[in-house]
Amino acid sequence: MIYLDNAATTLQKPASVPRAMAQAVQRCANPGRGGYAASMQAADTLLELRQAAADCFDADPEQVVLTMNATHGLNLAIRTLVSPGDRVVISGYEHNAVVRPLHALGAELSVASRALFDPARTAADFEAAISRDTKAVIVNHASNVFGYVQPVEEIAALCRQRGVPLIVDASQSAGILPISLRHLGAAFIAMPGHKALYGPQGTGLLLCGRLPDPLLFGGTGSQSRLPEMPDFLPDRAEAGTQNVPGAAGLLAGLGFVRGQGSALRVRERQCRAQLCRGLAAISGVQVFSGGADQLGVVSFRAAGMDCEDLAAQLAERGIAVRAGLHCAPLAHESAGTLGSGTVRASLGAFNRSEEIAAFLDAVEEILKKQEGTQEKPLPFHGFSCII
Amino acid sequence: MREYFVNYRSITKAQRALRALERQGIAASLQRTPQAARQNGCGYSIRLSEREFLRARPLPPGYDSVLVKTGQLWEAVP
Repeated sequence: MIYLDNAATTLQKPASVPRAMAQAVQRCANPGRGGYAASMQAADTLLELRQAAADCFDADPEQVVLTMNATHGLNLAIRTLVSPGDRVVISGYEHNAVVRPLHALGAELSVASRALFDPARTAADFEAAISRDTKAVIVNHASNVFGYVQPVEEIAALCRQRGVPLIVDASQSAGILPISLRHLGAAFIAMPGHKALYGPQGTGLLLCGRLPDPLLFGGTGSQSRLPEMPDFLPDRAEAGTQNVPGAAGLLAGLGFVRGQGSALRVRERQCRAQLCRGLAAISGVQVFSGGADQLGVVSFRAAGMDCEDLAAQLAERGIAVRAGLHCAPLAHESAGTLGSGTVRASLGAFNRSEEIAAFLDAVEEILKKQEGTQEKPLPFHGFSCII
Repeated sequence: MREYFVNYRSITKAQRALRALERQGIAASLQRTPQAARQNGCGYSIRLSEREFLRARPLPPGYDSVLVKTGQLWEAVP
């Protein structure tokens, strides 16, 4: 299989990840609950993960809350900062992990910017949108549909200047782009463990610049005589038994990412450029590419062909991509692709140039076959490619 | 024999304190806070001999209380 759905989850993991998980299953008991070796070993695993994440993201280990995914972290962050009726400024590229919790709370959403691959305009739009009554700003670092890297540093500076708490959704960027909790001064940064940090599914991290309100209430192994949740991190946000095998896997994944250093980003850039160039060269394909402002997440669509049909035909050839709205209808609305959806090819550390070439050949072959069976489709309008 | 218990509400804080002490070459161990030393229920303590306790001062931050145990007698350390 050629796996190009890394924005959903990285399927191929370093060998150290399943190994660490298997060891944890066999050796780790409940962390923070006992004083015996197996419980302490579990607690050590969690602390090592917090320490590694703190080193990676310039935070204190106690600011690292373990979550089950980025959505969980975002819900914690949003429930802490937003009350019903509050005005929240978001980008036009937010995932449903942001939009749905805000909708459920009855927040008033203000979409600051729909600019795509134009960070200067995005920053200017945020500057105009953040007002005195803004209760929080939420921005994804990189779009899960288009890979657009938003100007999060500029937006964070605006939030600091105006005293508005910022939530960053780093689902696509964590592990690829540098992220500093201290430097950004964000209230919260949420990320999954199972994407570019190469941990297993069911893991995530929430970096806390402030004390979150609990989302789950229950045992923490600390202050157990009190009916309230502890008022300190990380316990306040970690009720119940933690996913220690997942944490062990995520720790191994983080070790892989840190060991690779900038090589991951360099390889991803090369593969993305090959992908965008190749797609742009195929007749009838519209590719959304943004040069240096894009991660290895590339959306495209083919004139006259349903995106799900194209993805299905690729799947028949052993190529895994994701089609549709990618749980981000707002992003598609912003880019003008809400009606058609897109096919998304997303890269990971284990993709090779030959795989990209094979993928491009397959797309071309499918579209040629399609051309022979129907009238010439109308071309798409309204988006210029930058490669 | 006098033993010192540096008590933490959070295992994370206690683990970090233990590691800080170990880096200084101080012999200490991490254990559940004894029932007699608890304030609000379960927690973790760093246990030190008197000699190591004196070497460890100033203690790593974040602890809630320090108790000394002499036989069966517990006393708070100011």
